[in-house]
Amino acid sequence: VSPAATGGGRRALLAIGFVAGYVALDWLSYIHPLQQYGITPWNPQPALAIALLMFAGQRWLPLVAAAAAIAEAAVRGAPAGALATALFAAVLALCYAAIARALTGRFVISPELRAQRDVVRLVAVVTVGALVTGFLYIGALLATGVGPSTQPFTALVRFWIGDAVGVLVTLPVLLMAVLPARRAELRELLDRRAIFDALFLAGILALVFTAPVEQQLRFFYALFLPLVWMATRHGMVGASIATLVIQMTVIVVGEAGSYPALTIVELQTLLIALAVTGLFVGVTVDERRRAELQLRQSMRMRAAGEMAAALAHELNQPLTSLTTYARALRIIAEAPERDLALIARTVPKLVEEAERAAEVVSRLRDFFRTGATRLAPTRVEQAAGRVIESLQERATAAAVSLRLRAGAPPPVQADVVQLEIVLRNLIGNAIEAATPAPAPRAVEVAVDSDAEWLRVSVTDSGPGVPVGNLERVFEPFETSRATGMGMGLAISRAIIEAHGGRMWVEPGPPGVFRFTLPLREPA
Amino acid sequence: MIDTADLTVHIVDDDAAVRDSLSLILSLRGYRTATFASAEQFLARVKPDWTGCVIADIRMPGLSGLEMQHELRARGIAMPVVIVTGHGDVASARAAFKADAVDFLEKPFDEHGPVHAVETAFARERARLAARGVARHREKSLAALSPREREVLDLLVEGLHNRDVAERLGISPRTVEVHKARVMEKLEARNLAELIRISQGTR
Repeated sequence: VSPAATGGGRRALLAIGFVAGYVALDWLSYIHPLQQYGITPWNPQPALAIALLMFAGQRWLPLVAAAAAIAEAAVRGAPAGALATALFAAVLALCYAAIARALTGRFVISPELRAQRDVVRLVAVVTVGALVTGFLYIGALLATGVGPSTQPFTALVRFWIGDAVGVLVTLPVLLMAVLPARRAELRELLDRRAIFDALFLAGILALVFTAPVEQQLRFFYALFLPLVWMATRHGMVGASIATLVIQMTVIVVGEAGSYPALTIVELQTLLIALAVTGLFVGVTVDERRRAELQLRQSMRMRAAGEMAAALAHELNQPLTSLTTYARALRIIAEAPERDLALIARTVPKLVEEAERAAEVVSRLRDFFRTGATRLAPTRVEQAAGRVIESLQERATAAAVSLRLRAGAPPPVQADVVQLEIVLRNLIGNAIEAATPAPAPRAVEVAVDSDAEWLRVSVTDSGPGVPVGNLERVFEPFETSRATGMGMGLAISRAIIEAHGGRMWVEPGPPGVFRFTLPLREPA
Repeated sequence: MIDTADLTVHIVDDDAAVRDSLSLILSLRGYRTATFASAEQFLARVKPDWTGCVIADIRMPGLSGLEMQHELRARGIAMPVVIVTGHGDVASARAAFKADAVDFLEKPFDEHGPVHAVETAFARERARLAARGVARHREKSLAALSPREREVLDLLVEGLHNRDVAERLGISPRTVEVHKARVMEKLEARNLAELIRISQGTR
């Protein structure tokens, strides 16, 4: 099968699917038509046409016109004959094309609807577009003598509301379903933690629509609660789903309860306000989430910068002694009587410094390894156990007791190598801090958790950090030490922050360093 | 006479290799060196009569180089201090100079950096010791005067003539003359003007 054939097959499938969907939507939503005008209070099918024209291009215009003609004939029975029906279909198709064009051209929106600007433009283009469409469509009806000349203004308002609410409710859901990034969010929403949200929405819907018909308009405002809730929790995706569900309920209940048409029109008017509110709350929540993500990103950059500074400092020490030894060797070699014994003593020192520099570099390589942290479910208490085991000898030599206190906390998403660097650093520091302090010398590592965070505390019997130094200890250059993990606390904090956690020190005595890691994956 | 041989470079750095290599290269250049692993260690051992200079790392666990310098000044130890920084930032250089550091060295050191810094510090130290030497000498000479010679000197410095001095002290002008000659000899003064200058230098 050639790609062209596949593409052709796909296009045919899309065309058939579109026409079927368009006609079906028009047929399903053909309720309470305004006498002779055939204007209904909810028209979702234009959204399908606009979405098709936005994504597949304007060359699909004839198909849209065809679908509109078929729907006119099938649903309304083409009372004015084939020619008039073709005219109505052409008017509708051209109007939808103009709306799609406005949204992709002059008033271009990002179809993922991630910025408030996109929502403003969408609402503006759709409301103005629906009004113009209604004007032209009713004009065509009057011109062909299909519509009665009575109530043309009412017809226009009804058309406007029906189309505007239809597109504003349906188009966002279609956009969410079509775009891969949004589709993933949509799937996630449907997959989990939506049960409560669904029950809440269903409960309020039941409350509103089991009330006597005449009171439903008065209780309608209660629907803003689940809508705003959904929008706040799940952003644009949540808002558009909730709006669609409310819309469907209005239609189904209205149809089943054979409501007066006027009530349904009134409900639809309120639904426009509801839909627009949902869109705005949803996009605001999305924007805030994105800002949080960017902040996290920039925190990561800052952490990386601090780590680079710490490493530069760490490398500077061996480089200083390395060059100084090398210059000393040259002076010895250039002296009239060469002190060979001194050369023999100095060369190994120089080599040792070169190795120390190499070790810093390899530690850096370990840290970045594949260039990114490799997150996997990690049991922190097990990592702490391994680190304690490896430091046991050192602790015993310093007469410091090492203890691990942990229940069975849930695993966290973490890079185990980096986490061990942090633990080794904190526990190593704690042993060092406890060593000069009076007996009993002890270091305790505690791991506990609540619903959202896992917390690790490393407590030593040393004097701790005085209040004035609580932030200073995390500065890269405060961590300079001739032995051990000299990069120290600055890097440890950088690692923890890169994992979405926090690290801090409590005022001493005793010495208490704590860090947290999120139990849920960062959004 | 003050010679480099009497001056010691005191190296204070928490990094063993850095202080060892710095000590090696300076001793190869003919300086006497002593090394200390921390500011606390140096402060515990330093005596007021130590001479030379101090090269101290600005960043050390415990007391920093700058804090150590403040402590030295507070104790009246005036040895010049060279501050070593791992990153030649303006802030730490300014802090170092404000705290009266003679020079500052950036890690890694450049070829002549350490020797140059030590020479700058030693020049300052020699000037200080020379000034201190003159003062000490003067003090010593004055201390060698007998009580009567001291009285004669005081009155002469006040501007009295030999005869008035004799009258005031109830001794003969001839005796005043003898005392004055002994005073001038002890203070190594060639005339009255010099005598006055030397004796006033200490008051």
